[in-house]
Amino acid sequence: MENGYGKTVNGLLSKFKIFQALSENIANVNTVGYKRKIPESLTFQSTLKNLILRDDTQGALKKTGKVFDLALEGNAFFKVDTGSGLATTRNGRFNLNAEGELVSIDGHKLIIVEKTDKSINLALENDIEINEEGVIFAGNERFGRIALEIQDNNPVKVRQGYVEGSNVNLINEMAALTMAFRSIEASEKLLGMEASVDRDLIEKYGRNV
Amino acid sequence: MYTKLGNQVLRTTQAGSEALANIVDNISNIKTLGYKKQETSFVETLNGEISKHQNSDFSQGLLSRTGQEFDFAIDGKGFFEVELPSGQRGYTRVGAFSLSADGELVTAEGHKVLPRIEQTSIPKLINSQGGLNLQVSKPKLIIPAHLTPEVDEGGNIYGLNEQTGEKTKFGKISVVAFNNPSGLKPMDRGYYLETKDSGAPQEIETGINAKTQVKQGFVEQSNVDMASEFMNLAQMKNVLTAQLKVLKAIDKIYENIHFTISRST
Repeated sequence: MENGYGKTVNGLLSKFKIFQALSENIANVNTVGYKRKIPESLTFQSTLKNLILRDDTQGALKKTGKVFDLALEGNAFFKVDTGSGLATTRNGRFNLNAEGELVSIDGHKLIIVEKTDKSINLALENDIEINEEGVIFAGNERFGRIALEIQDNNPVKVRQGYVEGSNVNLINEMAALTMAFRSIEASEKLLGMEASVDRDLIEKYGRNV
Repeated sequence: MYTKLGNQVLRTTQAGSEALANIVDNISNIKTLGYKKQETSFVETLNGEISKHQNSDFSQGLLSRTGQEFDFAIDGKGFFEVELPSGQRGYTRVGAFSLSADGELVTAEGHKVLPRIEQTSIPKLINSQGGLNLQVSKPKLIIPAHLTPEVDEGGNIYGLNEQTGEKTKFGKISVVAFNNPSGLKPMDRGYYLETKDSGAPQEIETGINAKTQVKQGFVEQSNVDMASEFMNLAQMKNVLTAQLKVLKAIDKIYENIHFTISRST
């Protein structure tokens, strides 16, 4: 007789993965620049390879008014120096460090090119403007330009005073989560029933074999 | 695999409750003079982990006029420099000063407000047996009580004799700035300490034409905006409620697994 466990357990495992992807999306609804994981992309094959597709749509821009909050419109990345190499990030929340350099939240230096040779300390300037090309102006003096890694030919804009929110819609994720939960409950019941059917069979008929 | 389920939700829920506490702190300090709001952000680091970052936002609070001669506010970047009882330098935006019994300018907690050293003090020669002694006086901000204090935008303190119209300069209030004020260590009552993350204090230019001005007769309000704090509060509550539901669901799943396993044995 065909072993019913295998299929149910496999199904349960991928349902767990879907549930986990949904709960991670919910956990990150407030994370800057977070891209939601697409649960529908999870098949058994992709679970084996641990591949999850991410939804790359632009997150909503949230106005913060902070001078070093930069949101990217379009397909591009900021370049940062991790100390052991260059990396790219879309996370546009920057601050000045103890040396007065622009760094990301995890302390990596933002790469700025075409710097002026005038000594301007951004920490002491009241009026810092960053235009859509990423050029930094302190008062009327040009300070430099933020280096961007542009992925395609679409227009790219740097928006000062905004951060990119996540692209997670809380209500949709909660609805999907409820369905995933019910689906897991059903699978578990099935597993339980199969287990108890087998046990009954063994108890009733197995002894006399 | 089972333990990973919801691990991230649990951690984020804890971080979320801390963020909520910050928002509540901000709201309850809206009337505290010189209070700087606490901000929390959640970011995805380069290796995919989610981390929470918290810091103070040092944007300018509104100035309101009190007309008190020893109330001061800083318009622009910078901090007043004070001497804490331990001898350490403390920094603050709260300029609610007064004169001590010795006529020295002090904060509301009694800490001395430090002056900007403009010229080296001239050492006094003291005669004594066996040689000359030099006594170098430490500069203080002392204003005689019978003079009316007038402080300009550069923090220069003048004593005005109302009868004769004569003005004498008694010193200049020190204002310093840091490259990363969010890296300062906050203490009680609006004082901050320098750390390696904040950078060293730098003397900055103050005056009517400078980027930073000292305003006599004004105090700085908190920089908390009620509307945005309440919006953040509502948003945070929504997210936390959703996350708690997820945690409950995960709990139920574990319960079911337990039940299933126990029934089949």
